[in-house]
Amino acid sequence: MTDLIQATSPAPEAGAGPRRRSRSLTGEAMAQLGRSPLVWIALAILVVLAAMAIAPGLFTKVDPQRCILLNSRKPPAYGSWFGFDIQGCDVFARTVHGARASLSVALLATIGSTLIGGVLGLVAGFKGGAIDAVISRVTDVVLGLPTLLGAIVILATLGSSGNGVLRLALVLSVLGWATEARLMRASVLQTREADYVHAARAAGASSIRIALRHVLPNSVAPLLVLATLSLGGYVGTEATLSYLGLGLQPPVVSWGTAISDAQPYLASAPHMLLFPSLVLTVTVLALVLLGEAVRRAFDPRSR
Amino acid sequence: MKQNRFSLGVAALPFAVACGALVASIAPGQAQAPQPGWVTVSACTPAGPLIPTNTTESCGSDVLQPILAGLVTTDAKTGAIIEDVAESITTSDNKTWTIKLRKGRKFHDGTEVLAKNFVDAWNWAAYGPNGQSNNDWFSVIVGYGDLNPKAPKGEKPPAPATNRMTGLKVVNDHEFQVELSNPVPVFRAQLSYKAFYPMPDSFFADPAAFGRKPIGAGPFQFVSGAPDSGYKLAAFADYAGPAKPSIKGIDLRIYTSREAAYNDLVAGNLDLLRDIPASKLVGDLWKRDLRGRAVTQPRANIQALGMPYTDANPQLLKPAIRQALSMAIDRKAIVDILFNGIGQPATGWVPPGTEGYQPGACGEYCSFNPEKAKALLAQAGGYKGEIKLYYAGDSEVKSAMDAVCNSIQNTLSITCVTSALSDNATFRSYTRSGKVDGLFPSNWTMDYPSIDNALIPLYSKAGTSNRGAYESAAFDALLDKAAKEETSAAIKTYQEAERLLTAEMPRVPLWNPAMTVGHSPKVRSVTLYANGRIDYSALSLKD
Amino acid sequence: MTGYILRRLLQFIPVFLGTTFVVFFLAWGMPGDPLAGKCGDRECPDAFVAAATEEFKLDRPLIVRYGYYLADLGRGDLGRSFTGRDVSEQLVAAFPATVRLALLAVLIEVLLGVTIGVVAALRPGKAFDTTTMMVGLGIIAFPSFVIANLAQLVFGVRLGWFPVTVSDPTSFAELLLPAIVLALAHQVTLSRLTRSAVIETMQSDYIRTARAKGLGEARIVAVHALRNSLIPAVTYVGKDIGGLLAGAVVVEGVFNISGVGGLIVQSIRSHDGITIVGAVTVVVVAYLFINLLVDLSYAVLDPRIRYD
Repeated sequence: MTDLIQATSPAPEAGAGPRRRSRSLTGEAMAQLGRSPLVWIALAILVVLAAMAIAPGLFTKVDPQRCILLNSRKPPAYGSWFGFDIQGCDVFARTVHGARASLSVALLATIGSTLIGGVLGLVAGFKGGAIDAVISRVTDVVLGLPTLLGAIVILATLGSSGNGVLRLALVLSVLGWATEARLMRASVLQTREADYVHAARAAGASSIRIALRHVLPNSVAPLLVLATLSLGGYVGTEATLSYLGLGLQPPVVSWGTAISDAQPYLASAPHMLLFPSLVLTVTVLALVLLGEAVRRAFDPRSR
Repeated sequence: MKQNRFSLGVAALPFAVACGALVASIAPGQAQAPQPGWVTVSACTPAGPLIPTNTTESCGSDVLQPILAGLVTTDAKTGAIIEDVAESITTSDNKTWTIKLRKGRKFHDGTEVLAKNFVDAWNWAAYGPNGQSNNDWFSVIVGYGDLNPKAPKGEKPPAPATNRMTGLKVVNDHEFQVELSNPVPVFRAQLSYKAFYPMPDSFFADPAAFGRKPIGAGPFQFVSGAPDSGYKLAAFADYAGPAKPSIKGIDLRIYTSREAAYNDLVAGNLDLLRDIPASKLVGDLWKRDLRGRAVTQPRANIQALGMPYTDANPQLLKPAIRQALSMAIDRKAIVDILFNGIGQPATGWVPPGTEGYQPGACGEYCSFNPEKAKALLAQAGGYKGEIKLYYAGDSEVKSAMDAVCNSIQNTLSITCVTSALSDNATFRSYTRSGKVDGLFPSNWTMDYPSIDNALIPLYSKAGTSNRGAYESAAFDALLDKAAKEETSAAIKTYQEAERLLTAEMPRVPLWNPAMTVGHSPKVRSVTLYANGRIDYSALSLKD
Repeated sequence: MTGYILRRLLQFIPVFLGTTFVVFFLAWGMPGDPLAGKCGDRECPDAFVAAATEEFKLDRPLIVRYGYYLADLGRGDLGRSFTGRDVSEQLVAAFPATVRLALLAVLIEVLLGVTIGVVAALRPGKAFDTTTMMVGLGIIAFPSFVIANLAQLVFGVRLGWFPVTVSDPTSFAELLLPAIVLALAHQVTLSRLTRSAVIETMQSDYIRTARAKGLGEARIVAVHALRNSLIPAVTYVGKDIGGLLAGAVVVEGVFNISGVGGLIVQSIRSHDGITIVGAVTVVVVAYLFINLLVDLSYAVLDPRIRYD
């Protein structure tokens, strides 16, 4: 079963092989990055967020677990910059302390799903045949599985011991890699018919070498676009799971639970929703801007 | 490039479909012209077929209630039990009851409601193999055991030898007799529960068809509908009971979330919304949105905190710790802030509006008293570790449970953590398993408005919803005593039993929620029964 | 080509069986007693539990029950759910609304996403590109339930431009607002993918050749660049249609659409295994078809990809 593809159309012109990565290329990329002011802004934001995640105590002395119901829904004021939420917890303290869980879940889930999806997509697209058929059909099944069902069963199987953030990241990776795999496979299908790949093959390069050296770098761009976007998306997914009652559990504080708890009061106390959402949006913007810039700087074809 | 042209066609197919969709989307949708004299009411998807003896959840009950009529009903204004299909219900010993029916009450299929319709319905529902969820309501009737033989250990129950209870006797078309195996002073009140409603002859021929298109003797008859699309119920022309409506019909619209229903009410697409969600009560949002078009009614319901009852958490078995926890919860603040003051802090285990309700049955243990709570905790030797509070992640209790936990934590300095279990089935399996090591919300909706219904099923040794969680010889002795007394004396004894619960706090009473019903400008005089159901007979419409 | 399609169709059989098997075990493997909580606040009486256990064969081993399920399936019977309704009846009731919503949402998504992507790619880094990206990122950073609720509150309740909720049976007009809400979030990824692919294609040699030949810029973009840039976009859209057919749980909930998402969530929450298996299997089969179409479209979009 040769599933796919032979190159048919003659290449328009020869000689568009991937440029070799070299020190000078890396150096050039770094230099290009350094010239963009947006990159610096994004970096600064991310440094602040990383600091929040690592040492929230630097930003607020208020205990995020100290919630006095009488303070419920109080608007922002001096000393409580973001106001209080429905339980009377300090929104600023909870936003600062929420950075760690939210960012860890998003990062781990993105890394997990991109790795699983990228590897499987690369193998499927590059190998073709029966391997492609099996991987692609498994992908179809995973795409069709409802996240809620998968999440309930996986979370139940893992039990409630251990780290909630890790558990959630694992669930999101296991259920989320399929889109990445489909996209990577499509991209690889296109790249593996490029002239430089044929040239490398003709020159007697090994399959693994071709896959890693030529196909991977030239087909990874869509995957990276998706990954940077998913990073932001996963923060939202965490919130959606909370909305459906499956999110992170106390005492873990996260932006997702804050947003999902505040959403019903959108009309009566918008500040409870506004501030965690704003921080979330800024984070996503910074992450994607930086991701995009890095991708552009290192992509051999985008210059 | 032949293949390519083919696959181009294939690939173009979804696009063509999408274009078709766009064209269709421009076409106007069916306008829903409201029928004159009808009201649209929010409802939710019934969990099963619409058979009264197999319907225990509120979504199905909401659809069935206007369709059905029973022997007795409650008066919306006074809450008293009044005769409906029954002309009289009499007894001399609380064991043998003689029930006479009014003549001329009809089912929607035109047949008259006769004594056999009750007796047959009760026998059918009590017959074990029919597996009705209201089966155990009939266990007080003589002969129930014959219809539900006990299963030998680890085996399936044997087939019953008979399908008729010996305690039920048809005297004539309009009279029958019920023999109970022990005295039940409140049997007349129990009869208001829908398990005891009559079934037309056609039901027994095809229960499944009935489940799709129920036939009752109530003020409204089933016209059409399905669980996804909602139900249309038209006023029954031949209705001769006490709840004759002036409206022409009820259009029950199915909503999966009450938020969505609320938004429809505000936008003017809905006439009546039962139970405005708590999140919309906060900050008086609904008063602005609805301009006062809302009615609040205490609900015959008590929300409490369940307690572990096995060694899974020995600390929480200590009565003093339970009392301390109870006194550490600021119920009033929670009701005032999270429910906007709608509802009231519970002061006992019986909801107000119930026959036999006594304020303050729980005494000081249900009032917020941080000093006393700390003292009790210290006296019990303190509490080590954290307290978990489990709830079902798909329910709406999260904010209230978070608040309860915070209140305990702030008062007693014990770490209290809420934990959402994925859904109600998981939650119930876990909290009833004996492995549960923390607190959990435990609600009780009254089936009929009498004190015994809030006590016997939950706290008596043989209680159908107790499952061995609570056992007290003194409590059970009082219940036995009450059963032999006539009604007013029995109620005093039940009240005495209720006060006994403070000693061990099998559950910690939290609050009695109230229901807020919002309505459109078109609807007037919205009144509710004590169980929160809308009194459709009182509704009137502006023209 | 025909051989390829036949092979793909043959693969449906093992995938179909595999899916039913996996979902069957996942659905019934959920923790907790499926009959718990079926009787409101009360505990269920023994007679009820015994009858339900017998009817749904809850006391048999899972593998035996899977055998029964397959046997029923072979007769075209999808089984009966805890609600007493046939699963086929539930699916017939749920799918029309979801299919309409999915088609409408994907249509809007494609129109928006591809247009924005191409325009942004032609002037990368300029105002349009940056603005659409910022706005788009803002949209995806907000969880869908916030956007859906906000849209309903503003455009439905306050402004009255759209119906607040959707009735059953539903019309396309009612579904417009939920479809836009769904499309808004999905078009961001689509436009970013399109943009990055178009930029890449515009720098390729054959575009340079086309330019050198003196072809007009519009023709170059429309005919050459776009076509070759659509592979990631088509892949993503395929995945989206499938995802939407599986039901947009949150949006369906907010706008009260009685569709597949609600059905699956409701069944999961009530541990209604038979309905879960039926609904998910239909969704997976839809995925298989859509992805077959997507794979076939690769050959149209990139002449170098050929199936035989």
